[in-house]
This record gives sequence, C-alpha cells and structure tokens, in this order.
Amino acid sequence: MSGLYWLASYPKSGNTWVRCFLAALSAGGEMPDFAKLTKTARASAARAWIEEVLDVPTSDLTQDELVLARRAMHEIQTQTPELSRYLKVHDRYDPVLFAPEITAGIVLIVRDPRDVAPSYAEHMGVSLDYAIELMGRPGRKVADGEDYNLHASQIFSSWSDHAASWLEQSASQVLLLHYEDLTDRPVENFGRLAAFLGLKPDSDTLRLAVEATRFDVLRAREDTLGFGERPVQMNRFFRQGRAGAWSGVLTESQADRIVGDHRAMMIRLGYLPEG
Amino acid sequence: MPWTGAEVATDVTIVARPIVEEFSDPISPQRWVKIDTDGSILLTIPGLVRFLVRHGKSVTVEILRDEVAQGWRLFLLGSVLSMLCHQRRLLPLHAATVKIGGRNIAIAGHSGMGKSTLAFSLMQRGHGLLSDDVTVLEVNSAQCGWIMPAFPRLKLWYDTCRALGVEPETLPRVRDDLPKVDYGRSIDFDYTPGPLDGIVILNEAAELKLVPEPKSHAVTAILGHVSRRRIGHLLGCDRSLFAQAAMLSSKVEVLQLSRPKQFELLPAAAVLIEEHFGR
Repeated sequence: MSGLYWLASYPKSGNTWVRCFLAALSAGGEMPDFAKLTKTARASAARAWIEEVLDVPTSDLTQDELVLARRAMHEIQTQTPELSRYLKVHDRYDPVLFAPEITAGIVLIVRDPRDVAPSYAEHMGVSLDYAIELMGRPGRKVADGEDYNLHASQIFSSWSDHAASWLEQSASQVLLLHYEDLTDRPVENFGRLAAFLGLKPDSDTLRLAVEATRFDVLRAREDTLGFGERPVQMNRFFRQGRAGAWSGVLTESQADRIVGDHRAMMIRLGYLPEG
Repeated sequence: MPWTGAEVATDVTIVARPIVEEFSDPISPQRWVKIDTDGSILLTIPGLVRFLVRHGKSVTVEILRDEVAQGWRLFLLGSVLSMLCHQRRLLPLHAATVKIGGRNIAIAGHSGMGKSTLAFSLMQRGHGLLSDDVTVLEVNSAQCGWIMPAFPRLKLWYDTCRALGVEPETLPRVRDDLPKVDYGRSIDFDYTPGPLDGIVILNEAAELKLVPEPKSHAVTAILGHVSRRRIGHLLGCDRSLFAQAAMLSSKVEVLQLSRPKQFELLPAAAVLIEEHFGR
C-alpha cells in the first residue's frame, strides 16, 4: 500500500495549475488534453469520482455517510496501483479524511488572499464583497444545501483557518508552495514539487513541463479548446494568473478588510511584513 | 404495485435476516461492494444496511439502522435492482422514463444532471412516468428494448420541489437526514410495460439544444449510462452489454439534450422533447 499526496489549497490558489503541471510532467513535458487532468488528480469530494471508485450512488447518502465514503474511496485509491496517488482537496485538514496512515505527503498551495478574492468572486458568480465575507467566515461549510451538488459537503472554513489547519497538523509532512513563487521562479518551485512527490524528472522534461503549463499557454489553450472544469458563470477559468493584480481590482476598504480578517496568517505566510 | 405478467413462480425472493455469509476470495474486495467469484454481491452502506444479492434471484437484507424514512429501501430499489439486472443479463439504464405522445422516452444522465427534475417537469405537462433513476430494459433477439414495469417513485431535492411549485415539507423524505423527498405516491404511475422509443441523454452546456447523437457515438453513449456498469464489468457482462447497446442504438433514437442547469429553462427543454417526439 502506498499513501496519497493531497494537493490542498483554498479555492483559486493554483491547484488546477499544479495539476496541469503534474499532467504535463507525467506526459514527458507535454500538456495533455484538459480532459485528461482527471487522470492526474481527481477532486476528493467529487461525487462522480466517489461513485466510480465505490460503485454506490452518492445522491442517496447522507453527508455523514459521504464522509465515510470519501474515506473508503481514499483507502481504495491507496490499494489500487493503476489509480493516481494525487487528490485535489479544498477541505480544511481533517484527521479522518486525510489520516496519516493513508498519506504520503501534503502539498499546501497558498496565494495572497487579496488575489484569491477577485478570482473566487468570479468563480462563484458573486460580488467581491461577498466573496471577501465568505473567505473570512470561520467553519464555513460548502455543498451542504437543499440541492444536489456535484461535490460532497466540505468544510473550507476561513482562508486563514484553512491554511492553519494544514500547517498545524504534524502527522504528515507538508510542502508549502506559494502561488507567487510558482509564477516568479517556476522551474525552481515546480522542481521542489516534483522532488517532494518523489519524481525525478531530468532538467529538460521539467523545463518542458513548466513551459507547457505557463499561464498564457493554458489560457490560450482554454480559448481554443475550452476547459471542462470551468463553472458556467465564469467567462474563462484561467484568468490573469498574475501575482499582485489585486492592487488594481480591490478598493482600499476591500483590501483593508482582507488584511483585517487575515492579518496573522498573512504575516505568517509572508504576504504582510511583520509588525 | 399490480403484477402485470402471466402467472409464474416467484422471480426474486427478498428476505430480511442477519447476513453471516463471508466471501473467502472475492474478485472485488472493497468494503462497500464485494463481489464473489460466483457473482454474488455484498453491498454495505455502513451503519444503515447490508444486502447479499445472488444469482439474479435472491436478495438478503440486513437492516442495521432504522430510519423513519426507511432509507435502506433506496439502495434496494436502486443499486440492488441494477445488480440483479446485471446478474440476469438485463440492461439497467441510468434513466427516468416518460411516455410522451404515446412513445416511451428514457431521460438518461449521470447523477445530478436532472433526470428526475426533467421527468417531473414533463409530468407536470401531462406526460406519464414509467420509471425513475433506473429503467430496466430487456434487450435480446426477441425484444429490442422492452421496458419492464417499475414502481411509483420520483426522488426530488427540496430546491427542485420549490422551483416547480411543490412544498417539500408535505412529502415523505427518502432519508431522515437528506433534503430529498419521494413524489411517487402523489402521481398516477404508469405500470404498462412497452417498447423503448428514444433515449435523451442530458448534458450541461451554456446553450439549450436537442441534437441526435452521432451514430458512431451512440453505443458508447448508451454504455456510459448503464447503471452500476463497473459491477456489470466485474460480473463478466461487457460483451452482452455491448451487444445490447449496439442493438438499442440501431433501433432506438438516441439524442443529446444540452442545457444550462436552470429551473427556468425546464419548460423550454420539455417543449424541445415534445416537439421532437410529438405530444
């Protein structure tokens, strides 16, 4: 049995970008069809994936049973060599779902919450102010309403709590990746990721995979071929991909509110100077 | 439900008792669905129910927890029904079936695509319901797509009920802890077996349109909507399922209904289907 790697992040923090890189790396440096991203890493909470692995209809399961189903699905994935060892996760850390005995490692991808907010607002089709409010809501649970959701319910909690939960668990090793470092020094930081995952690409393959998944390349590909994971309310999934773009988007009070909500974690992650 | 067939011996026996049987060397050992070398299946929904499904003829049920809603029945009438079908080489299509203009049309789609919702919308427009979620088809040299009678059930989420003018609190829940009700007891259900005339496969897209599935894709599209297909695969049904899908695709019209998943577009989607198949 081999453990799984959790690609953990708050939404809109680069998780899909990382999955694209891993897909390209496993294809020898070429970006495969977007449709094949699911071969690289499915979402742990995706009902379609739970059903595919467990053979049970999830729409008749209660949320408590779905937690058991996800855990069982993770276990099966560790025992089935032909299935990927990577899973995309937006939940905060949960010691049952992501138990150390089924874990090989945690990749925590973080991004300046001031850049997350505009992207998240567009992703959900809500106002920027509301997205900022949601990001500050402790214990926030999603996909837990009166409708069918393509995902099982998940606890994201607030942006700060989300990061803290993964950083403060000590049972499994964590690679902390900053979105901003992936944009600034992609070869170095995607290389760190590959090494953490036990992959040993030669430098050419690593460079090719980084080139093939540059943000402008992914964006052009989405323009030409579309992207199946794009929510219908978004014009495009791969938007700007720039670090620090928030300064031209957020009002001063919106930026201040984010800082007010998340100051301690922003300092801890280097998004604000200390003091 | 009334029995509509000839006088015959018991077809499937369902017994409630503790399940003590173990599979010594299962071909699929996972805890929720275990499959034994003889094709017997043990389905476990932890803390709720266990089923032992054998030879397409016998179901043993062990209820582990009682709910007011008796939610264990969902799995008997869903997964277990599909398992029995695979064991009997019947084709369980993941579809609701509606009679439109005298023609039986299966509304197929993956979970969450809105099969029951669209079926309900069509029902509200006066069409009859023949099945929800699983449509059992007999497909062989004698019958190319014969719908077997089902049972009156239509599972709807609370938000669907509200959007379509039904107060969900007045209806029985399907699970105690799930905002989902059974509308089946409130409808005039159609138990008549009959030929399948069309399959409409639901997809989510930005634009509403109903187009024929290209012939080259129709077999794959049908296979992609076989209920619990992997279990069929593990039971050695691949060849028979492929042959059945090929027969169906040659005799039955297969269409794709692409649509944004918005309640307000349901009438327009229903009209497209009505215009195609006739009122």
